[in-house]
Amino acid sequence: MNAKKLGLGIVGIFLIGIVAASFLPYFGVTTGTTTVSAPVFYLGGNATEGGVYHNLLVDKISSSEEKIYFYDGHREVFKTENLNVSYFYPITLHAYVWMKTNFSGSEIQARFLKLDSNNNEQIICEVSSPIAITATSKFTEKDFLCNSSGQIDLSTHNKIGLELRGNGNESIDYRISTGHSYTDGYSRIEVTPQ
Amino acid sequence: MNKKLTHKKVNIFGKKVSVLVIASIIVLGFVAAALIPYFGIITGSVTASQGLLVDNFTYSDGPITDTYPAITSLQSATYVKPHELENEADIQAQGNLTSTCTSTDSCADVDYRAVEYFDNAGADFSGYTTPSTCDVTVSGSIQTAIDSATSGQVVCVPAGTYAEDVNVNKDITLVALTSPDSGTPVEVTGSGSTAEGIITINSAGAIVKGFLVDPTSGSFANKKAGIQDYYGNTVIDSNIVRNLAGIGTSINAIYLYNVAGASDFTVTNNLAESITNTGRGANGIMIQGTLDSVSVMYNTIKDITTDNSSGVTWDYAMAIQDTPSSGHTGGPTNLDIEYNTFDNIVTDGASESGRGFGVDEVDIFTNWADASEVTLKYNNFLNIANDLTNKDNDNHTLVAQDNYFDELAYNVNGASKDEIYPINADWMTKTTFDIAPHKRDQFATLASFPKMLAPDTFTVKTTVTA
Repeated sequence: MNAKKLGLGIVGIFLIGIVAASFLPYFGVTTGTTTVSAPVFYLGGNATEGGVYHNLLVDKISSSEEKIYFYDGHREVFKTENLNVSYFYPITLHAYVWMKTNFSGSEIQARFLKLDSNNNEQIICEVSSPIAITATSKFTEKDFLCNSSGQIDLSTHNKIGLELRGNGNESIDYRISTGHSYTDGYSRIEVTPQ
Repeated sequence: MNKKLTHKKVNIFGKKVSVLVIASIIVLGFVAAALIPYFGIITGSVTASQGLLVDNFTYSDGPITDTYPAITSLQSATYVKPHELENEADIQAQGNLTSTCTSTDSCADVDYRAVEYFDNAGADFSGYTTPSTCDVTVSGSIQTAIDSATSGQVVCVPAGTYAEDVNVNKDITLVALTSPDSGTPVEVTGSGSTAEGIITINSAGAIVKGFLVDPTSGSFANKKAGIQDYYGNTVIDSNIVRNLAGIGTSINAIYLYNVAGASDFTVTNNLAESITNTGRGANGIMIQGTLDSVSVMYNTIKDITTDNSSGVTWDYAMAIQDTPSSGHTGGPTNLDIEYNTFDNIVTDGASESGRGFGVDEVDIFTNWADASEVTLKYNNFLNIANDLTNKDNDNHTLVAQDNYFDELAYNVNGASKDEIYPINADWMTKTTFDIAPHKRDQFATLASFPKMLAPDTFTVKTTVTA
């Protein structure tokens, strides 16, 4: 009985401590929360300068659908505007590209580039295996990825680009769909930190 | 500690327990309480006893949550969220603001803190005073009274509407006998007969105090300013200038101008509002020429608007300029600009945006003002697209530390008009508060996220404690 009372007494004193602590003058707390996400680069139509260059839009989907086609032995480059950052943290670049070809067994080589204002190129990373495409009438999604080797050093006038190059002879053509939403979204490059 | 005391035992429900044990249990209670979330169950009585509210919330109401827009790694963002402390008690409230940041990875690159809003900045007419003695009291025309006054006299102006331009051409004190924000102000509406100000100071040693300058019912035709001062050793105090509308030339609520050299200009506790122009510039306070020692304090400049659809208009809450010709002089020197509020400065139309404070040019190749002559601090910049502008072609930095800029941070140097020179601006960090009984104190929480933050969720928390 006495032990029970003692326990109650201890609990009481403990509560006194809690109540006393309540008089510590915390008046209020304000919190603000924001989420930072990695950018998504969307493949777009022809860049102003034309040629092999096409747009790679940052967090923005092309306002119109365009189908870009090219032949084996040639390449197309999708590139951003100036990113205006001095570096990019180490990333995995994961491309999802809707494409088709007229010849089964065709292959495409892909690599990610850093470009300066004169379109001088440096390789960020290269997709290790060629991307095999089967001849179909409809566009199918091909995804491929590679990792930057550490932080990507950039100047404010640098851009990031995706180069796609046909591996075979010129009788094979490839088509890439941009600005159109398929079952798994648009042709795009997703970035994740390593 | 007193050994006898710690070993002393007290009787609890028939058991003897040492004071040391009781003290330990109480300490444990404190620790346990610290582990209870801040918005827990224990704090209602705190606010009641101390009488301090945050945004009208008691502590027990829980945390005040701001949700900031999400960004990507290629974006930067600065969020400034105003809050208010209110002391409902009969005693002074003193305390601290402590900010912390949490994220999965690191907050090392995030700028997070509480910042000061300058509650006492801007004009306040509640303490308006009138002279105990008047040497001359206006009856009819203000100008007639000035003409009859002699050097050093106090000329008092009773409430009423005066449809005239006023030329203060003597070292007199010209003072309104009612506050300009009262229901019965001394209102000067202008006559349209001069090309200067509705009130123009043409003498060193003059003081102009307490007037409502509003040409709505009079004339502002072809004028440059509501109140204009050519001379220096002068005071422009507690006036309201409003409803100026320009069409062809630049206009200013208050215009300090001299090209021959003058010093000691004081502009304090004035309100300039509703200044517009469709033809050229519209400015709250413009300081131009070879003026030295200019103090601009406790003024409110708000609602300055122009429409730049024609491509020839702009506006500033306040700006300094070099002389309009005669080559580069560097413009005004020793400027002290403190405790002013600049609010809602807007330019509609192409290639321009409303500007707060500007080091301006007349011509970028020949006539520009000197940014290094400016002390600019403790001012509130609100609702302004371009808070700060620097066109000092000598590449001096415009230093604007310890000011308050509202949401979206301080925006500096627009894309046009030679706005390319350095600016060093920042908010004033607030870590303590000291609020009189039954008063309020505004502050803001700042969270600034640079580009290239790795994906994460950042929560910035500011805790208010005494």
